[in-house]
Amino acid sequence: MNQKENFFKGILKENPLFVSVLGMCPSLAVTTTLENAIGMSVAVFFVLVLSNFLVSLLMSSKKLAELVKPVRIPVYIVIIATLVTIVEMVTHAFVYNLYVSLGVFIPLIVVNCIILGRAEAFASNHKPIDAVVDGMGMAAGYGLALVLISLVRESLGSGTITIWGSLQINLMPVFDYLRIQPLDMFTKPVGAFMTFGFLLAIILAFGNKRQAKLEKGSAK
Amino acid sequence: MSKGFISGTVLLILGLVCGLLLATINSFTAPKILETENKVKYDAIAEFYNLANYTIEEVKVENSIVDTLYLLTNTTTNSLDSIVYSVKQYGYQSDIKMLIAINGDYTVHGYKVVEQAETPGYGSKSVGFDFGLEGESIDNIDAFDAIAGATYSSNAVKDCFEAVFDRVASDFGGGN
Repeated sequence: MNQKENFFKGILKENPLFVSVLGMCPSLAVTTTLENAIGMSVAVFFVLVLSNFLVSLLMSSKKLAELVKPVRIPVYIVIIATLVTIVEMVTHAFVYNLYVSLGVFIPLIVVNCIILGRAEAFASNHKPIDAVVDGMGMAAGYGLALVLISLVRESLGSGTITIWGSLQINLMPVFDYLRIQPLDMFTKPVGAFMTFGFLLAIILAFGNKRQAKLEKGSAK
Repeated sequence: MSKGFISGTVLLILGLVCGLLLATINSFTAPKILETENKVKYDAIAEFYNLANYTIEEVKVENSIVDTLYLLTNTTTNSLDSIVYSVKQYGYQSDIKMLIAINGDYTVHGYKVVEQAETPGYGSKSVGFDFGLEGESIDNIDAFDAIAGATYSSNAVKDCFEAVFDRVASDFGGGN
């Protein structure tokens, strides 16, 4: 697998959210605004790329890997928890509003299945450069999924799209023109599950159609 | 030496290195966090009162969920007009920090949740929520309105109000 394939598999073929369905809890909880989704994506990107790199670096030495192997899960957790704590301290100090709105979901990145999963399944048995590219691809795929969900939820639920801080697109004139109100339900957990379900169905439908086309082509 | 012992030592060394790294980063971020939190508090107090008319004295409190008192003395009359309390109580999954402003006539001037990490959509509603106590006397805790579906967070906020109401009279210099 070349680096391009390694990167893009995280976005499409092995998207952590829409294909592997991992890390659902924080993903559905924070996607009430686009700003939260972008903030969470950046935090996960930082943690995933660096944890993949550090785990891969640690396991690349045969002697060290042998010693770490019996305690590898605690070792991964220590690395990931350190990176997450750094993210938490930095957001608390410099991006206070984001820190408040992401709340408990920043520290919960520690137990996000995507990060521990990539450390165990990929980074521990690949070269550091491959692990970094894999981390970047997976984090980008996760971020894109969050952005997609938040775009649907915020626009339909609040009638706005908050890009960052006061940088906001107001969609209320569209709602006024259609003489309807934003559906508050989309900002609630039920709206999160519905949005995720519909998006997953659409993506699967396209995927199946593409697969059928490919199979038809190869049969000919 | 057994392999298990060596693996444990590796884990211990890694933990120490990570702890050292975090301590270093904390030394940079901690002052900034304190500065940000103070700014949020003073901005919130400024929402209650025009700070140009008052001098503020900060009094730390120990062994109570009330951690700080901000005594607002009127610069014209030189009298203690109001006290803003900084209170912290544990909710469902995080500390809820709030400011409660009490006037000299023992009525609630205003309140604001300044920090929380409660469940989004439930306990997080405490930010900006109308708990029904604005303008009420400190004797009237029954006017408190809870957040539907967020019992723990609501109870934490109610505890904050009760802790403040219990000590207002003595803080203003009167008896209970």
